[in-house]
Amino acid sequence: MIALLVRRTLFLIPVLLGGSAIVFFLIHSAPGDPIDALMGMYASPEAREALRIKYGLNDPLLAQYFRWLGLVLQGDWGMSIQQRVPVLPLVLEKFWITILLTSAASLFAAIVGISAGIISAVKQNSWIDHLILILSVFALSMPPYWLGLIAIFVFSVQLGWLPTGGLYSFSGQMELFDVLKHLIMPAIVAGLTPAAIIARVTRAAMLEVLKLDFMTALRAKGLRERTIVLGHAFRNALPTVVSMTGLQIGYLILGAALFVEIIFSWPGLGLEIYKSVVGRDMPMMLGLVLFSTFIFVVLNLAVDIIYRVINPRVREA
Amino acid sequence: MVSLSPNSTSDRSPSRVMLALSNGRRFAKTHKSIVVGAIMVGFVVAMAALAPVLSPYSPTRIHPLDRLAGVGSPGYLLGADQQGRDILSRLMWGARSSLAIAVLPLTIAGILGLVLGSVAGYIGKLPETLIMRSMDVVFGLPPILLAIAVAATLGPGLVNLVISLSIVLLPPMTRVTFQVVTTLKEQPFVDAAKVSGATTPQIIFDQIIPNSLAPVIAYGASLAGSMVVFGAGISFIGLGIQPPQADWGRMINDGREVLDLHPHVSTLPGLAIFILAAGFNFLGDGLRDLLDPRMRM
Amino acid sequence: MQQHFRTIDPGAGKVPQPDELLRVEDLRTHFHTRHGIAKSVDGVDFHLSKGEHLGLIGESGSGKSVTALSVMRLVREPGRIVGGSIHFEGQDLLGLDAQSMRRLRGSRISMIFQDPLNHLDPVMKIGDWISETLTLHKGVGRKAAYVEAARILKVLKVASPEDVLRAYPFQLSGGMCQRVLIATAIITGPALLIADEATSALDVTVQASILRNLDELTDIFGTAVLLTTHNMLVVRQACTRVMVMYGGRIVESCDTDVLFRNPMHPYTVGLLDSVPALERIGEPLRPMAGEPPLPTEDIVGCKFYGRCPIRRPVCQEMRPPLAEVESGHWSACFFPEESRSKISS
Ligand SMILES: Nc1ncnc2c1ncn2[C@@H]1O[C@H](COP(=O)(O)OP(=O)(O)O)[C@@H](O)[C@H]1O
Ligand SMILES: [Mg+2]
Repeated sequence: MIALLVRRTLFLIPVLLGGSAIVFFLIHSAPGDPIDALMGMYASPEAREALRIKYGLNDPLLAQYFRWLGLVLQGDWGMSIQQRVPVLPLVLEKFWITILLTSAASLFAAIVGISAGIISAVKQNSWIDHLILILSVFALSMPPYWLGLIAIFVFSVQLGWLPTGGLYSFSGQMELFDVLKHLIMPAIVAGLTPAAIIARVTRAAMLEVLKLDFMTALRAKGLRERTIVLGHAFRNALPTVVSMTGLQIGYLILGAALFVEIIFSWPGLGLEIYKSVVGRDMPMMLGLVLFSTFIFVVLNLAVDIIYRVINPRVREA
Repeated sequence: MVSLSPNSTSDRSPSRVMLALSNGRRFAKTHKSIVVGAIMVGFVVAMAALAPVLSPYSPTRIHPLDRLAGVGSPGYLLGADQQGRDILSRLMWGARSSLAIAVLPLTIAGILGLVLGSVAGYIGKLPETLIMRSMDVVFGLPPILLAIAVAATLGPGLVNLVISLSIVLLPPMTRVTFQVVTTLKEQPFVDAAKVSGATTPQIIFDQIIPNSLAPVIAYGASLAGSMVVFGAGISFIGLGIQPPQADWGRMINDGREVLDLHPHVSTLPGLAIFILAAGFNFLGDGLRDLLDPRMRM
Repeated sequence: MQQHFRTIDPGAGKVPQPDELLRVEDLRTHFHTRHGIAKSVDGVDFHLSKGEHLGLIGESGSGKSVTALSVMRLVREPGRIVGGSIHFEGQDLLGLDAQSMRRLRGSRISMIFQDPLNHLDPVMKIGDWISETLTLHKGVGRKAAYVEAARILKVLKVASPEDVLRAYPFQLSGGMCQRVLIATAIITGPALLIADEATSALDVTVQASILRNLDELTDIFGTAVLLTTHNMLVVRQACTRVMVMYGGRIVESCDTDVLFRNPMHPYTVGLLDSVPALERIGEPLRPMAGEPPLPTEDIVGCKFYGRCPIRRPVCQEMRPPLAEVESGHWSACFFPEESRSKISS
């Protein structure tokens, strides 16, 4: 068990190294000149060249990569070309804003998805099961950037209940209630697709357990149906559900949240990624992608460890 | 040697699909989701195919006088956008790229994944280590960012978008094939082929790949719906199909600025994405049940 | 038509005995399958006295498990109890509401199963599994329940009960898992324990020791046992009375030693011939010819007709009633006296 954890952790290194190399070379072989984005088309050639040298853009790629890697390990992630501030502090600041959104979205997705999955499995083939399955297909098929627009149109433009976007109101300081009002729509929109996937996985995992022999043994003990379903069947399905939920949270931080942040102007990593793509801000994009990769990989490792810890068949083997 | 292939008798071979299809009515009853999905996808395919005939205007023709015409206004069944382009025409033409995004990357990654996964799974040893570990590295990256990074590198455009989505899809397709093949190679018919003197490449292409086709297709089909949403999302960010060509994802983003007064400009393309994605998702669910009952949900 | 020939519950008579615990009358449990209605339990009558050990023997598929589950009211879809009555401690089980029935399970009627490992929660510690029942029915706290569980396991000759209580099912042997199931079933002091092929999956030595344990424990608690098995030797070791089941019906019922000495149904005779009983070692084994009928087949007469060596036309037309041939010995054959002589000669 311990050895396995060590091995899994060590595997982070090649993934991070390989991942960072892929991303680095990709972005650096991109067409288009970041200097254009920075200085505009009409800067003098001398000024352009000076800047190129300053950012090391003339060196061979491999050299650029290793120099960059060395700096990254020292915490120097370079400067954002567009915003002219160091990348790492900016990324870390945006990270917490994204975490706020993804935690809320994950909470919503987990609660809705797991409940729907359990109900669906227990009432297999009933109308409510069919309804949940159809709704889950709908939720899976709904582009978050579209759903977000509809939500804004209905709840902000038409009804005026909720703000159209941002983290907090312009006038006030960050007050809890104000932030919550800004949080609710993006969190639900971002959580809907993961909720659907979690519901489907939970249902499948529960059905696997519900057909096992020990269900009869549990009934023979005289247990209430609720205890059987929640205390035993779900407990058995939990490792599968947890690892799937964890994976979804990983995708959520970087996937659905990206679009949702754009739509709702939520000032997190996703919005920064969008801005760096549009502005061809390579150091920023590189830093964001690298940081996200790191989070993604660590989260996957954490999910794997939790899976093992809550699964006695693996833990005690 | 070919006669030893279990294709003709395997209960997951395409012949079962044909058999099922021939029982039209019963098929429709037991496989509702395939029928529903096929109708939805078929509708979009028809719109895309008939766009040159049916679309009222060119998707790129600008009518400044009719900018932001509402739904149902004369001459504009679904209204017009900020530049006065007919939304219906743009939706019909835009269906083409959305369909390409759903189908092409899956096909490309599916074929490559089948070959790589079969080689890794059947031969094992060094090829397995090389292929599967490098897939692990790519799989360890967040898919949406990988696609964005690749698309940003290659530059905008449909072809580049297809390439970037194929790269993202390759690791999962390879993994699924690998898992199928590792169980497949223990089957007696593989030993039979070996005994009868088939070479390793022959076995891989005549036995392993044809027999892992059904579950891999089932898996791929289940991803098509997400690909529609995902691919349109990348266009939405501005990295996919470029204006003035019509593209659903792009249309949503372009319509955002007039959301408050003219919501149809951005929400109608979203509805189109939703319909196509839901169609593929229903189809994928049904195909999975049909081709690979073990994965049934 | 069958109704005319149905005799009343063997042994019990019309008047309930004072020590009667369980009375099953004309029990019918059917499964609605794609291939038709499977009459898995097709009119079964029996009774069980307090503390009695009753065996139910028959080939696999004869309906033993379904009978056992019917008494627990735990038959799962597509199966349903479609007729008959089950009286337990004077209560009509089939008339009870779900809540009251649930309260009986695990406290007054317990059950153990053939495949013990798969009838335990794979991710629950044994100690929690056993104490769950005790807490539910007796309101005992977790600590006290663990102590009680360890005590029971000791009676079951478990060497280090504390270790077992801390283990997960997959860490234990099949025999140990069965001891755990027995402990769970008996710890609440039920009046009836249903053991469905409880030892069939275990090897012979473990089987014998578990049967001894079971005997001891049920004596302590005064628990009656309904034990289903396909193994004649198990019945002989564990039961005072035995019923033979065939095609969802009881075909013979009597004291165990009588069954081995003087079987009165051709099917029982065939069964005895196909097992090497101790006093018959040396005689040639005669596996029974033919297959039992499919449970979905619609059979008016005797279900054993197709394989019966002494069949007559009447057997195909009428269902032979389970009738008392001699005192306490019941047979569902029109020609019980011929069974033994015809075949063995
Ligand atoms: N879940 C089920 N679905 C359909 N038929 C069943 C089911 N369970 C039992 N049966 C039918 O009931 C018959 C008796 O089964 P069972 O009581 O398990 O036999 P035994 O325990 O004597 O081996 C079987 O032959 C089968 O036809
Ligand atoms: Mg049985």
